[in-house]
Amino acid sequence: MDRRTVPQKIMLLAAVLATVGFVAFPLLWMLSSSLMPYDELFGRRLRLLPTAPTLGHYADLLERTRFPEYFRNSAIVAALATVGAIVCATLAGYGLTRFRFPGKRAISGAVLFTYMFPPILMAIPLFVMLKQVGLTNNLFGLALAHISFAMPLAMWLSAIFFRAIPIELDEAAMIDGASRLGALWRVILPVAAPGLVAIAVFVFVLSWNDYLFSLILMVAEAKKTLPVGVAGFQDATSVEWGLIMAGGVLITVPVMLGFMLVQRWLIAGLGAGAVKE
Amino acid sequence: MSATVGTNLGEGPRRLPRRIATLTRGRREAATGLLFVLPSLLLLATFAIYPLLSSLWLSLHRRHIFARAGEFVGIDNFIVLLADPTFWSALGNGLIFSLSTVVLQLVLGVATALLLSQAFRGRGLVRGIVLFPFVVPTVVAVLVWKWMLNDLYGVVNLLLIETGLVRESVLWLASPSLAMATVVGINVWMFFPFITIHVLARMQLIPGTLYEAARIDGAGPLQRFWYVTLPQLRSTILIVVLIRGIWMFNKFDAVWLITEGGPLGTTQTLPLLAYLRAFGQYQLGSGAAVATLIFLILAVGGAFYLRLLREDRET
Repeated sequence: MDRRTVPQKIMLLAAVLATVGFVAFPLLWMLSSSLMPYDELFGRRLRLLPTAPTLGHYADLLERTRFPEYFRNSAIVAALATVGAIVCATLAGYGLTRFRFPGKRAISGAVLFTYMFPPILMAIPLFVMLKQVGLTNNLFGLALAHISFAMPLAMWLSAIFFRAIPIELDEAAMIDGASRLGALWRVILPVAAPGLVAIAVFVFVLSWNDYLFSLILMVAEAKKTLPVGVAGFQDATSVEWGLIMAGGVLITVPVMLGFMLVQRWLIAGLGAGAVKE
Repeated sequence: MSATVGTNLGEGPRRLPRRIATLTRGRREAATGLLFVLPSLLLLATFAIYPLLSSLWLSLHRRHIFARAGEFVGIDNFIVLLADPTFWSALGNGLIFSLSTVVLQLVLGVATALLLSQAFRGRGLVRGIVLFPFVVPTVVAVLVWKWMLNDLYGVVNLLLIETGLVRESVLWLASPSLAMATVVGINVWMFFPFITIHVLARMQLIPGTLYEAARIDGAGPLQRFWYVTLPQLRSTILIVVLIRGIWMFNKFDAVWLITEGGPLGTTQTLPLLAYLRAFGQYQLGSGAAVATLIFLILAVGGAFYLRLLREDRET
């Protein structure tokens, strides 16, 4: 591959560095800001790294704000949503790939269709609905909203993963006397596990990152999740950017860890809009 | 997609005449299959299909957010909306926002994919890093950019002043003439990796022999891109543009969090208007009407685009 001339090599290197800088700088800046003491943050002098790094903002975040509460709420909602979505999606993926039934095409079509709904279109009636049954300001209610929001993606990915598992495996298990569910539980699930873990991560991240549904459904301060709660830090009379940046770092860490866990599936999932949509 | 089960599994009554046996088997199979899909379908029906219909219904009512029921007003909400300049400016803003973000994402996304398809050391790592903006939660990305663009202490302004490019801080978000451009810029940063991923994945499927042939015919790098790469990427790009277009037109959080539609409504798009009508002015019916219009615009636009796509494929 060394057909490149020296200027070409330099140009390539420059382009790569520029790209990396463009995508990574804001995140590094967040990290750096979260460690800067007040006088450096608001010093009006350009400083790339904290000269006297401090964990003060993180301590403040945990002691002086409701961040721990938001964190707990987010974790509970995301966990509920993940479990709910993964159970339904597993069954659906199995059903869609193992059986023939009328309307299957229509189902796949409907899934893609719901995927294209404007979230705001779903959010308004969802609010009315959940309010009627007393599930606004309720972690379980928000989890339900997240499940339905994540369901099309989860079902779709699940069908892809199950399709890749040869049907002979089911047949072998059932010839050996396993029931349908037995075959699914003992033979197919272990094979499908990596794919299901990937779906779980995607659903978790969707729920963890959601802003719109949380904004609308969780009005009580004690029920807010991280995105809405931390964004609310901006409303303070003097905006504490150090605090906000520390919060940003802590929100991002679980997401990054999750994605590292499922690197192999990242492209398929992201391609299907697993994160921001 | 179509999986055949049941023919050699010994399920179903064996002694029945063959035709009936297959029929019952078929029905049982269908029933079992549906049973597996049922929980998901119920969820989708309750929390996606029903809200859609209920939104359409709600848009025909005047209903205060704290009221138990609404009053049927027919298409009044729509008539009022279509006579309201706020609606038209939100539609205009939305079109500017989604068209410009999609075009810029496409340019940046494809350029980055081309760069990352070159062979260089550490390419895998760089490919991972390029996903960062897309993977970071929207709230976090927005807050970081707002901090970087802060007029008093933001690193961007300090950098511009220090290097002498500007004398006074640029009001990235507070100035009505700049706010939309800033919002577009931040959104392009967040979402271009989506296009990079897709294009890169598709590029890997382009047979190397095509490039060899082009090279033998004396094509330079630009010509190879124009006559080999681009035609191969065509269908991927068309689909990705459709998806991104829809999603950008629907985008709420990544606009609301940056400006809440301000200053002076210059960044207020339709989803923001729907939210403000429903939860700012407590008029659920009016909000639902805006949401319904978003959906209709997307449905019509999407159908039109798909039609173009099909014609394009046939010729």
